Amino acid sequence: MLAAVSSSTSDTLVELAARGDRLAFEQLVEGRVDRVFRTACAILGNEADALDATQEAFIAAWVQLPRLRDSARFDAWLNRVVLNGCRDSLRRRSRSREVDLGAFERGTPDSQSEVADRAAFNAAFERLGAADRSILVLHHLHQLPLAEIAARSGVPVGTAKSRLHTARRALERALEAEA
Amino acid sequence: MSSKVRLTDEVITRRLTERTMDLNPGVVAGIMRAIEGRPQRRSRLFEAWSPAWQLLMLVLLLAALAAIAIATAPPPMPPGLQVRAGTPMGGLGLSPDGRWALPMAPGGRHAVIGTDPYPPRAADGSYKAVLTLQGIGGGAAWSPDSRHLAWYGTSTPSVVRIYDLDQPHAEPRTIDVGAEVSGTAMFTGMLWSPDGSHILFETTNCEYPCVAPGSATQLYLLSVSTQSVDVISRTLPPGWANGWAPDGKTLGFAGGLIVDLHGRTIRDLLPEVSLPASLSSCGSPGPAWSPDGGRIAIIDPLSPNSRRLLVFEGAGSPPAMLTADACGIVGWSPDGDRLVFVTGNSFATKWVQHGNGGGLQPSGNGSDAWIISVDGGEPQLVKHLGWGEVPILTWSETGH
Repeated sequence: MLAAVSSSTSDTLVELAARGDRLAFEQLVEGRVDRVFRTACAILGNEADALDATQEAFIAAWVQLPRLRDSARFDAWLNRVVLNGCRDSLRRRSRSREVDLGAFERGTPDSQSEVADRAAFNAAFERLGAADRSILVLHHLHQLPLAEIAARSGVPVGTAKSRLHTARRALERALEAEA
Repeated sequence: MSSKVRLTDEVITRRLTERTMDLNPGVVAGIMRAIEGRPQRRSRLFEAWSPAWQLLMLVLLLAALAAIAIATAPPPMPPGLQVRAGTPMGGLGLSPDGRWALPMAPGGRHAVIGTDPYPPRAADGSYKAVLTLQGIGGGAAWSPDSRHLAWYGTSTPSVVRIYDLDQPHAEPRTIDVGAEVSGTAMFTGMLWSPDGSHILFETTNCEYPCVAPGSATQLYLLSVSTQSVDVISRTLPPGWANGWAPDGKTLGFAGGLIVDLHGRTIRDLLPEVSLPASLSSCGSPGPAWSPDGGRIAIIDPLSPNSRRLLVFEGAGSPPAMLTADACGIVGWSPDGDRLVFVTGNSFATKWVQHGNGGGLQPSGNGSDAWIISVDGGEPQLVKHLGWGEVPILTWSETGH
């Protein structure tokens, strides 16, 4: 759906929303909420937290949107808002240590080993910090190329590549620990 | 022992996808309800302007600042002359807590003297030194070339110390003049000879300001190279040796007495002024010789309300009064045609010694530095000096 919206139309919607047009903002939300929610779900692994993070991200976007200078940068900016919201959520959770394990076991019944592998992956992923989770989600879930991740993060491509490698190694080590 | 785990891209993608779930269709409506009544934060005024407006406003702001700077700038100085505000109290400027003294070099360079080994600081970074004064010592005097600093300490009053700024880490040289100085005397001042070969030091047998009947000033001449001490006079009336003629043969006292190096009176510029003459409240009252030695400037301290700046030319000739409102003499121009002086109640009176010995405290509003032609004319203001600031006078090589 997002791809169907031309960039000029998207820019117009952003500019209208920045001037307080709620209908325009609603169209922006509709085009992005699924992706934002999936990002939050993958990072947080908890439906309730993901819903909260999604809602908070769009509320923050609405409030701060008039200060966005370049409407073409809206998606990258929204992405940062979402990731920051997820980071805050993880920080809050680290104090309460609440994990929704049930959320990891949805879907069709699997073999015992598949269930065990998925549980191990999720447990390992829970060991990662927000930055590692974010870059793994952007690259492996949303299939964003490193160049775009680098551009959105404001870092050189080499740095993004290094961060992705570090995050991946951290996940593998966490899996080893879980094993 | 755990084995090495290697994850493929496909596995990571699949597992992350499994962590996601479908979105409840009512979420968008919930978000739109949540923003209901939430005001958007508008850009700040400057951010709301276009880049062209921002640039224009920046230019206007800079222009306004430049206009203010020009309007409040001090009057232009004559070419070649610089009068800069220097360290408080040349010779011995104590910090308000009494722990630091900041002697001022004639060339405008600064050194640091402290009574404690605090981290050394120099105003211009040219050298860094911490010298220990013996108690609250005094009489700090710079050599004419600014390379040596001499002082004495109250706890060892018979010892003169000379610090070589070219050897900042060496201990000050000490010269014990006790054998030549009477036991009850105390130092009251030091003055380097124009060629830097000798140091004149004064002692008195009463505390400054010494007005006791029958008291006297003793003058000694210390050779820096041989450390020998010659007595110039033990019977001079109380005063303050304040100037040395460029030829090194005569000395001048505040109050106008001119003596030779044998203590004989050569001339009395202000015979109506009886010694002891008080020091000017804002710097040197002279006498100050012009560079060629042909003229002598002095401030007549006869009355606090009539501080006349006088210039004597030939022996026996009447003085010319340049102004009736001078407070201290800063210096002559190299050609001897102009004088820089200060008015107002400046630095010296701005430092008040408290009775509890807790150090000196500044007060007051400062003074003004002026330049005036010896041949007449109106003085020209060159700089306002803040409280406690001492003018540092420098001239171009041509003196213009």
